Amino acid sequence: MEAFTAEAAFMATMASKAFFALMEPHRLMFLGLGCIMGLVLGIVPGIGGLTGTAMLLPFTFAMDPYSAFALLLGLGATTATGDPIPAILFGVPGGAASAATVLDGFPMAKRGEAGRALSAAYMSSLMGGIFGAMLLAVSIPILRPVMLYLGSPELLAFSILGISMVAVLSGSAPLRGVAAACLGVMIAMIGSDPQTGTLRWTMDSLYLWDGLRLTPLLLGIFALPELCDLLIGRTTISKSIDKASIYKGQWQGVKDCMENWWLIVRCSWIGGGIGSIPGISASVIDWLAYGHALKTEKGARETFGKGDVRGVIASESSNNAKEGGALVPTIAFGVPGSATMAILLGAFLIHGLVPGPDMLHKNLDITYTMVWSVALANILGAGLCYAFSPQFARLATLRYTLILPAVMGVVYIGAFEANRSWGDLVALLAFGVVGWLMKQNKWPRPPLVLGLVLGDSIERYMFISVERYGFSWLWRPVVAALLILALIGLLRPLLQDIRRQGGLAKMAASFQAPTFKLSQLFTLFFISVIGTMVIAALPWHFSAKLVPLVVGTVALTAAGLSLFNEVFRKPETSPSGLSEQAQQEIGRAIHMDLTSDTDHLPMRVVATRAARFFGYLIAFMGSMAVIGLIPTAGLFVVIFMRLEGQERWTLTLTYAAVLAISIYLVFDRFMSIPWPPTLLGQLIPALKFIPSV
Amino acid sequence: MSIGSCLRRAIVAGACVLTTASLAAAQESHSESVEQFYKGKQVQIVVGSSPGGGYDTYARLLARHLGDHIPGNPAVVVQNMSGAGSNRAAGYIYSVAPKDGTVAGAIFPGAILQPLLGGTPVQHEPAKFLYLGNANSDVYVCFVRADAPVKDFKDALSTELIVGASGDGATTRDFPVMLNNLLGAKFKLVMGYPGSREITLAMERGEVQGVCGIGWTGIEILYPEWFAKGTIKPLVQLSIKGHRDLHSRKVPTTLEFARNDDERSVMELIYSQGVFGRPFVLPPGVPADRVAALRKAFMATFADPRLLAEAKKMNFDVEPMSGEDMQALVTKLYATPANVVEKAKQALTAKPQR
Repeated sequence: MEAFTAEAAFMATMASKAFFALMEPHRLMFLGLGCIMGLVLGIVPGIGGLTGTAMLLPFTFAMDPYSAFALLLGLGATTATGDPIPAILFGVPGGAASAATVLDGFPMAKRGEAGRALSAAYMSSLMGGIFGAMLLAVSIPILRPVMLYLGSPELLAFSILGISMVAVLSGSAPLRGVAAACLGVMIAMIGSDPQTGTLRWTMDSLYLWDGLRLTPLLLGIFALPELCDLLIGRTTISKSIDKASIYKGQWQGVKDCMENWWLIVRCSWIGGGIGSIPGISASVIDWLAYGHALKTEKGARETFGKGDVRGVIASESSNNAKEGGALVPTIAFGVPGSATMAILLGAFLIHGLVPGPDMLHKNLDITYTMVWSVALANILGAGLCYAFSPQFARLATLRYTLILPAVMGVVYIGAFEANRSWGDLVALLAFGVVGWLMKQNKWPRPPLVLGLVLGDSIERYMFISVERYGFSWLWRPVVAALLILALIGLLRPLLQDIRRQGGLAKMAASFQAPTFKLSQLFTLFFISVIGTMVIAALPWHFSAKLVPLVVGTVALTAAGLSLFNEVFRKPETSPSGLSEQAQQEIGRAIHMDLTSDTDHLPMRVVATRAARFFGYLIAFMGSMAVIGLIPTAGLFVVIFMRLEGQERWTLTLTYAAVLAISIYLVFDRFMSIPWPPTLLGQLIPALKFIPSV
Repeated sequence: MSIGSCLRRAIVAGACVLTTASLAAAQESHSESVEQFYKGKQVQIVVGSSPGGGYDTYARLLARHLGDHIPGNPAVVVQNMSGAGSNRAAGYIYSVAPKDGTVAGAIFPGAILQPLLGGTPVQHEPAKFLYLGNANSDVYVCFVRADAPVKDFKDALSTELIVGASGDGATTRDFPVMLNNLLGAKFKLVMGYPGSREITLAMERGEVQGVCGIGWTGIEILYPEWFAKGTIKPLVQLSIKGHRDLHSRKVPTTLEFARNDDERSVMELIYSQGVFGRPFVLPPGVPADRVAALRKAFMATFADPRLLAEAKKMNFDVEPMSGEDMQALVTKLYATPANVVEKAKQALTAKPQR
């Protein structure tokens, strides 16, 4: 007991020493500088804190460690605060961990509640970030023992528990959800296999060797469909809102967070906890928290995905808590919990700090500086966001001809920034089409992302666990507990669904003669893609094809059953009375994704306008190959605005120039992206003075 | 005259002008001095890894000072192009990047050795690169937990040792597989760890008993408790010459266990990637005067006291090798007799584990 008191006293002393050290004006200034950069990088979709941190690193050489970490963590902690802005306003996730924010934030913006959604997002980011930092602060003494206890089998069990969220996130379409998740897992397997080095589904391209990057995929699956529907609908995202209602909405968002403080605490602990486990990607934290809220919050099943502020709160509180969590393995073991943390590790060594036991004792004050920096950065970041929020909220009321060119240009570069290769753009386009078709045909997209992110770690840690322990790892207590939880999570919704439909017998009786619809073509397409992938996998080495074949079979079964259902299932009987209708509304699980609001338009119009949208994208890529990205961005603005909206020339040209110049400054000058060679540049090298040619 | 033919003429005339202009530009580039050429230009170093890794940090260290030593003092910037174990960046430097001396590459040693030993086709020929130099060399080591049944390398030849490894092509996989095949070591590989830091963590928590093929540089600084408490110790050096620190600790090199010249040459070939730990390359075809100037600048930069001070602060080893030496080394590697290359390839092929 005495030892414990002494330890607590020591921790408190170090924590306050760190706090006062950080309060020095020049350190606060560095923290603020980091925050501003983090916010800017966070708002631009696809660009996280990684590049920014790498660039800032050399400037921290000459600083004292407190200032250095204030600057770096200020940047790292606030990129997630800026992420929800494009997610809510345009449906374009600003970072991998903001995709779940789109699901409720974007419908809120459409309803004219952008101000409330943004405010709830900032506030929950702030609170989440602080709760995450608090969790880190109090768990410091037990960090190392806990981390040493978590072996590969535990990581595997955590990943399985994560993927069991598919059951919740599939909503009313469990079969399609499972199929989509399996497709995600299979996409995650693309590339060089860690066991045998077999190049799986790489189609002889170097790009696919390392597997597909998450950013182009996420932007394709979530962002492009929204932008496409915006063009199809030819409207503004939200109807016009006046200043007063924005301020009212902002206040409402703050109140929402206060009312749901317990949800924020839980979600931020999910975020901090998972963020601290090295080897499990933090990119699905938002979905795990979102799924958790969906399972536990009252009435969530009816309103989530339709603009429930709690969806925004769950997602945003978790993803801001993860930076604090990611500090844990970095500090305690030198195993970076995220890519940004890998760079931070570089900063450690420069300042003569060695991750490990010393950081939790001798250098505890520096560790606490980091905790404080993360907490303060969250407060500063949210404050800055509030200051600009009214301007942001009104962006959603602009005409689509004004929104689309800039957002699309930035989405393109965001995707391109992932690998700086043509493959990124091809992946963006391909997954844009797939995402749009999924959305139109009511296939839930979240399970795909879950499978994509967790598939890799499940395969990896399963092989390690089996290779090392045979099957005895299944009896490790934490593993067993997690797996049981996962099983319950998977089975309960299934059983509920069967009971709702009146038991298996009644379900079996509800079949009829086949009916065919156009939307079944997508299921067929899905089956043929998976089938082709499975056939291609057959000749591989046993350990390289084991997981792909198992997952592929599950996907084929689920998609096959779903198709069977679509063809032979009677539509649900129309309710006869009001009470019965209400009953049915409650009983039915919601479709767990955004629905297209283009239903009022005839099929033909939807199809031609969608073709037009993807035509623009292809033309963009074609033009990029010929004259380079920066001139293309300007040209695209001009063509789009003149063709689609007949906007005034002066406006169009100013817009084009501003966009091209900002891309040039940020991406060419500041980030010095290696542009792919262009046709024009090769034919006439003299023109290479034009950036990106 | 019809509009069509008028247009045609205009195009032909335009093309003529442009051709002449570009020819003139080409001519000019030969007559101007290196200093004139680099004045006001930007030199790019394309790094074959994502920001933040060791390769990136070395390249940024070099980039901060290289410009001061090149005649004409161009600005030097770093670009990241990760992918395919830096084979993508190597392919870009080899065939796409301008060959005028404004682009250099920082690639993994694997991208130089793999085309010789690996089965996967790549888009570059390492022997045709013009080598700018190499920033440091490293000695790879096997580490083992003190409580493992294997106490020295001789034990490893008769007793099973569970070692953690990353994927195909990583030294943590290639080196133990080679030792199993060549010397009959009994390493049992558990593969799939994302990187060397994850493996060392698994070793610290006892999930694996050891690791074979991680660099010695910085280990003592990163893991002081291994040495203070003796929980984890070096087993054997996987290197041609070895490291003086390890020699003084009486850690043997695997070469001492080679039973014939063939085994020795296979090991030397595979360990050669330790000699050029951080290679920098130029595309084939860069004018000779610029190559010479850049090579000279490279060596001068790594002798610059400001760079050395920064490197010391970061605990980075700097042990530069000149471009000429590096070129000779790669040429020699690629002149390795076919039968040795074949034996090395076989040694790197994993046999099914029991």
